[in-house]
Amino acid sequence: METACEVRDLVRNYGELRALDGISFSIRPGEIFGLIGPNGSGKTTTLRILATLLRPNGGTATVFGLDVTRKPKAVRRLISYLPEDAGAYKNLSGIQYLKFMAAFYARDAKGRDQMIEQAMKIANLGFRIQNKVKTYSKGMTRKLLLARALMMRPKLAILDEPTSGLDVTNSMELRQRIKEFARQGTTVLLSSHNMLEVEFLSGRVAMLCKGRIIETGTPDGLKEKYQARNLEEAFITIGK
Amino acid sequence: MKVIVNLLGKEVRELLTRQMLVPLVAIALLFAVIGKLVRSEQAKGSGPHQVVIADYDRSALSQRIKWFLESEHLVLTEAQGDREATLKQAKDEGVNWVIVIPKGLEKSIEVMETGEVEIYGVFQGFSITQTMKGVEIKQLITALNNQLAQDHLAKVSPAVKPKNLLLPLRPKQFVVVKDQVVAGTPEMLSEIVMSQTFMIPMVLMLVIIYASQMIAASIGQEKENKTLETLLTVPIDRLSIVLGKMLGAGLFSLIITGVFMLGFSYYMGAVMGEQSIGTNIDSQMVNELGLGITLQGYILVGFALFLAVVCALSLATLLSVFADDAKSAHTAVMPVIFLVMLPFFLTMFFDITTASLPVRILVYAIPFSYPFLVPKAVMFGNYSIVGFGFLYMALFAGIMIFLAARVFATDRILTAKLRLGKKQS
Repeated sequence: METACEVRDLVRNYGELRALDGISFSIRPGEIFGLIGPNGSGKTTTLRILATLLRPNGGTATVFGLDVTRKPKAVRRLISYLPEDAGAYKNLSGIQYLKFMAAFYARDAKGRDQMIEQAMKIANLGFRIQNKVKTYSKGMTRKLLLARALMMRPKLAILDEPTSGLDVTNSMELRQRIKEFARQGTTVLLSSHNMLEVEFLSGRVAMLCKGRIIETGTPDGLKEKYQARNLEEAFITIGK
Repeated sequence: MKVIVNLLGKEVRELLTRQMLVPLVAIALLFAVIGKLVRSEQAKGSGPHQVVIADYDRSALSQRIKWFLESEHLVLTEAQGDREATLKQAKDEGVNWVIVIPKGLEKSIEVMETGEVEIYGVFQGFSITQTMKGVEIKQLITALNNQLAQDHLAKVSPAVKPKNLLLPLRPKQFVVVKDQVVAGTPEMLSEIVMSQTFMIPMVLMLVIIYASQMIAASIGQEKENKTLETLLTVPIDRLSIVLGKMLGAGLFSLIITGVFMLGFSYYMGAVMGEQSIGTNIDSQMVNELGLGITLQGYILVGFALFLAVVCALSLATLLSVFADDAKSAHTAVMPVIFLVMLPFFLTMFFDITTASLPVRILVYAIPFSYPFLVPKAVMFGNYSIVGFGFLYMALFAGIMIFLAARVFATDRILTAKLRLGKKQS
């Protein structure tokens, strides 16, 4: 059976620092897979390698059978990446930003319009979509960026801390959107240090600590295995 | 192409902001306003020149001096009292210059002794126009001296022409250019060259500084806002991203320079006035020496400018890649500005073709030297340097664009920042 994402013995160094120390995991198509762990555990580095932004120093990573280092252009056609704390172009309006990004994916004007329509539904910014991005709140910008990440219905959406810095209402709304897209067939790989969020969203999770995966499984399976009430408790137990 | 147009459209929207336009228009307007003020000051200066004259000699010579000054468009007001009263009169009447002809001047001159004419500059403020008027008065006194000297010589040696005694040696100067020998001075030649190449260094400096800063700001902001990470994951060629940024920055730097130069040329026109470079050029000398830049020559100069801008953009792109944010990107492109200033000064003071080998190698190795060298090379028919310059600049730009695209294609664009010590999760 084809995997959406296959990571084998992935290693990445930043000078003397080993950020990833031989991690391995695989994601099934249509699955929401969560990477959880504290700051500096290697989550963002893993996502950046899969998003073709960084090259690994060892190991392999494939997206729908395509090696991210050998076929980066082909991988980019299948993925969409939402960096943590990313911004949009401040002097563009929300709609101009969406049009700009959609033009890279759409084959024709009709396809582009469909993507923009889809994005406007996800962002749900009303008339503010016509305003410049610099006038947006953090929540509005994050919604716009998530809409951009999902509008082209990528085969794999890579979302780094998707609700970072958002209030409860906006976070809930975005989580619902992510779940909807996964139901419609988009595979989602997300990272968060908010383990409760990952527990709510993900079918399976991998726990990272100091560049290594210390446990993988379903949230319920991990909770049961470590007799924890939630993933946070399970993570602390494993860490001991 | 569609991708580059899309990227260019984004760059234009991002750069074309009120914050960018307002200072630009303000600077152009400021130049225009200063130019207008200078023009009006010069109009005042070129009007009738008032002088208070105190004639204590009351002689035929003092009368001759006054006639001469009046014939040279000075408006004379006779002083009534002593020196102190005369100076006070000038101050009260707002006249800046006082000439005092002392008693006994004519007698001194008649016996072929020197006599003094006192010139007072009455400053109640300071302006260059007033200083220039003082120079004019001194020149008039020198002319008058010349006349008096000729009178003396005519008396002493009536058989000899006074001019022959005053100027026994008369230099007759020639310049040799491109095997053509033409009567003229090196100063005239220098003025011809300057008149046709005067604006090029200004334009080049501005375009390159703006272009480098624009592309630095663009890449720095993309890194700072993490929009670059998103852009690098879209399915487009990384070279398109580099070219889109270069086109945007190049376009804006040309617009900015155009607006700036419009204001600046108005200002220069006002400041230089009749003294503007090239006014005194002997057009016959230009034609005889074949030093006029033809339309084809200007096309070559324009092409050199274009290639220099592309070189600057590509080098600035490469340097900006290693910056963390917009602020550090501006610092990162400082070498580009230095590389423009160096040939600017070197070519201003040296004839590179006759400079020492190390200086020549240095100048020829800097791609931004050629826009300074090409206009002079075109004028003097030295087309080998033009051809070499074009090839070198094209090669340099090509290598820089290739390297920039390579850096964009690898993870160095992100890791350069990482190596500066920021922690990653």
